[in-house]
Parts: sequence; C-alpha cells; structure tokens
Amino acid sequence: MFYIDQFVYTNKMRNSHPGERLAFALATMFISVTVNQPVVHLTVVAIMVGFLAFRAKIPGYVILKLFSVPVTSLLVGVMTIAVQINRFETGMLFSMNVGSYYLGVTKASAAVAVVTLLKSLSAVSCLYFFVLTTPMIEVIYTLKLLRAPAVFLDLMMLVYRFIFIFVETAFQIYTSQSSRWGYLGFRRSIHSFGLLFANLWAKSFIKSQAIFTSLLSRGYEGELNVVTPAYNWSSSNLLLFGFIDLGLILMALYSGVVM
Amino acid sequence: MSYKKIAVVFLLYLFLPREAYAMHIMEGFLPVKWALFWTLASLPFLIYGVTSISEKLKDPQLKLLFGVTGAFAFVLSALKIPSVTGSSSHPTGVGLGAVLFGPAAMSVIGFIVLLFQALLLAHGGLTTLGANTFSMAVTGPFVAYGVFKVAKKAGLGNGVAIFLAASFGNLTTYLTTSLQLALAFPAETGGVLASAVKFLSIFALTQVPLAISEGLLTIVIFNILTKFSQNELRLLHLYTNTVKGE
Repeated sequence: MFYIDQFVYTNKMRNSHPGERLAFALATMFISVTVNQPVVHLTVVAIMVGFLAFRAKIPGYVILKLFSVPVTSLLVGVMTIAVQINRFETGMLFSMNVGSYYLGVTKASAAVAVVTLLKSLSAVSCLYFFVLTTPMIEVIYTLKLLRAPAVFLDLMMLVYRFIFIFVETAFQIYTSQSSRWGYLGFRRSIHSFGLLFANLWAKSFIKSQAIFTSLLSRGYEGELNVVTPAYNWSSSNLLLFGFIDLGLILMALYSGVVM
Repeated sequence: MSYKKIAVVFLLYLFLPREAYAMHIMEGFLPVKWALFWTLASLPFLIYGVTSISEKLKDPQLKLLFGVTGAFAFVLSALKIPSVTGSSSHPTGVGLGAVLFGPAAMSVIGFIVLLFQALLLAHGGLTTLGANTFSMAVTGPFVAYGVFKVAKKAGLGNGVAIFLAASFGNLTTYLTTSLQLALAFPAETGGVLASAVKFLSIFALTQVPLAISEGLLTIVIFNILTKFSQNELRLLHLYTNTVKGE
C-alpha cells in the first residue's frame, strides 16, 4: 500500500472548488477515451503531469511511483489484445505455432494495442490529477452536490474512515504471523490468512460497536456531519481548463480521423 | 524459429499476472460504448441494492456495521493470498460477502470498494467502474449467493457450500471480465468467440487455482467465525437472514 493522502492534503491546488477539478478531469478523460490520436493522448499526459508537478507541487518521485503502479497490469492487458490466435500465419508480424494454431501479432492488433495503451495511460493521468489534488472528504462533498444518494455517501465516508485503521491492523497481524513462519507452505498460508481475516472481522465488528456506543453518547442520530469550508469557483481556473479542453478537441479534429 | 519461441515463452512468463489485478479492467481500457453499456447494465442492480439496504440502514448501528464491512472488504482485496501453484493474488471476497450480507447489499459495498480502489490505489478506474462493478459486484455475488442456496438445499454441509460459493463467485467474476474484454476487443478472425477463448485461456492458468484457494480460505474464515463470533453472526442474521451461527 502506498499512502498518497499526506500529499493530497498539502497540495497547492486545493483552494479552489473541487467541482472544477472533477469537471476538468472527467471532460479530459472523456476526450482521451473517445479520440484515437496518440498526439492527443501524449498531450493529455503531459498536461496532467505538468499540473501535478508545477501547480499542485506534488513531489516528482510520488508522481513517478504512482505512474509505475498501473504499468504492469496495463502491459499484461495490451499483450493479451495484441496476441491473436489463428490457423494461418498470414499477416502476422511474428508468430509461434502451438498445435495446429498460430499465436502471433498482426499489424492491426498491434495498432489496437498501442492505441489502447496510450488511451489508458492518458485516462489514468486524468484520474491521478483529480485524486492527487482532491482529498476524499472533498470528493464526497462534490458527489453530494451531484445529488448522490445520502445512504451511499454516508457509507463512503464510513468506509474511508475505517480503511486506514484496518489496513494497519491487517499488516501488523501479517508481520507477526510471518515472523513466526506463518506463511511457510500452502496449507499453513491458507490457515494463517484465515486467522488473519477472521480476527480482523471480529475486531472490526467490536470496533463498530464501540464507535456506535461512543457516537451515541455524543448525540448520534444516524448522520455524520462535517463542516465544509466555503469553496469559490475560480473563473481563471475555469477559463484555463476550458481553454485546454477546447485545444485538445481542436487538436483531435485537425490531426486526423476521430473514432 | 526456436529462439523466437524461447523469447515468446520468456516474455509470457515475465508478463503473466502472478501478482494480478487481472480482474479489474484498467482505466481507459474499454471503448466508450462498452464503458457506457456496462455502466447502464450495472445501474439497476445498484439502485436495487441502495433501495433494499436504505430501509435497514435507518438503524444507525447497522449503518456503522456496513461501513466497517466495506473497509474490511477493501483490506481483503488489497492483500495477496497464496495460490495452489505457488503464485499469489488478490481474493475477490465476493463469496464471503454475498453469503454474510446477501447479494443486494454486497453490490453496493462492492461498488464502494471498487470506487476506493480506483481513487486510492489506481486499480480499475472511473471509466471502467461500470464494467468492473458488473463483474465483481453484480455477477460474482449473485452467483455465489445462488450457489450457496442451491448447495444448502441439496443437503450439502456449510463447509462445502461455502467453498463452492466462494470458488464460483471468484470464477464467474473472471469469466465476466474475460467476456467484457472479448466483446470490446473481438479477434480479427473468429470474432468475439475466438477472442473470449483467448482471454479465458490466458487467465485460466492463474485463475482456476486461485478460485480454489479462495474457496479454501473462505472455509477457514467461516469456520473460525462460527467458532468464535457466534454473537456477531447471530446479530447479523437478525438483519440479513442469510447465515446464522450454529
């Protein structure tokens, strides 16, 4: 687990309205998913990384580390798209035969794979832009403005509050188990994991009861209210974001075929 | 040709998902129409889930319990369990959740977990949230729950029923994901079907042993729960009517 929360809470783009950033991230994400030109995708990545590094002032190593997270699963994913199975070898750039079939990469499948890789990378950069500049509490606040169901938002808030406690507890149990050879061999590993989760579940349950009691004694009636600061929409930000998205759309239109 | 073969096998070995998030479709991976399609497909289940639990969640104590369960599911999916083949990967947890809370509640909890995985860990994503919800929070839990009910009706013991529910929950999740990928990226010859065979056979290597591991793990968890957490299970049973401590 890699905690990004401390960087999120101290980022320099936090002051403006979180809705601006969500709208910008989603609009840009939509553009990069609909469009097939690599130029646009690379530009999106550059813009988002630029915002993160120079305006939000997120340290470079954090950005680098975060971008390295999805790379493995992305590579696996695009490899499976690129590889085609066929009875004939025709049209394959390189191939290998398995029984009466050929496994290989064709020009078209390679192109699809590369475009998908870039698309995914640019969409991920939009996601990171939003996630790294907006603390979870503000995400929930924004969802509230968008009229998401109250039950759902309450659950989100609770889950977010508990995640960090449980992750820490789980890893402490894991460390103490593995320091006693708890994960030696398959049978023992499964048993140890079972113990870990069952104990974590029991602990969680007791915790939820204790929290309920303490909340009740403070007048809890089923709602957790948080004071949210008054956010102002910044017109300069909106202009900049709109300008960038417009530029991306124009770039997509004038650099070739749109999907 | 043989050096090529060796190179390909080596590459496959290098990239095969030993530490796989293979079950989540990455951000931006699906074409727009499929992303939209799966979002619309999972929406009715989510609405059903929210309406069916919001009545229960008027009880503040139960709301907190659901909150901790969501966090628990998140942690469960963030840790790696060992697989029979010696590799390790992440359990889905849909079997355990569906049996403990029922599939409707699990679809909401699953959705929240997937959202947090996208926002906090960059596993999955916002554009593919619909597709991932459909496979992990809709198909998985509903199948697991159905299997559990059928197995119990057939007179099988709790252990076997739990094992089957968890394994099938895991397997159908991955089947759905393979199908989603195949529909979005049909093969050049043979179309969707050939593509589905391809995606299935690639992930079958890692996923079948993993489903068995998750089944075994869920039995162990369940045995310990029924042994030591009788009171909690009984309380839970009052609310959800699924499983009671014996």
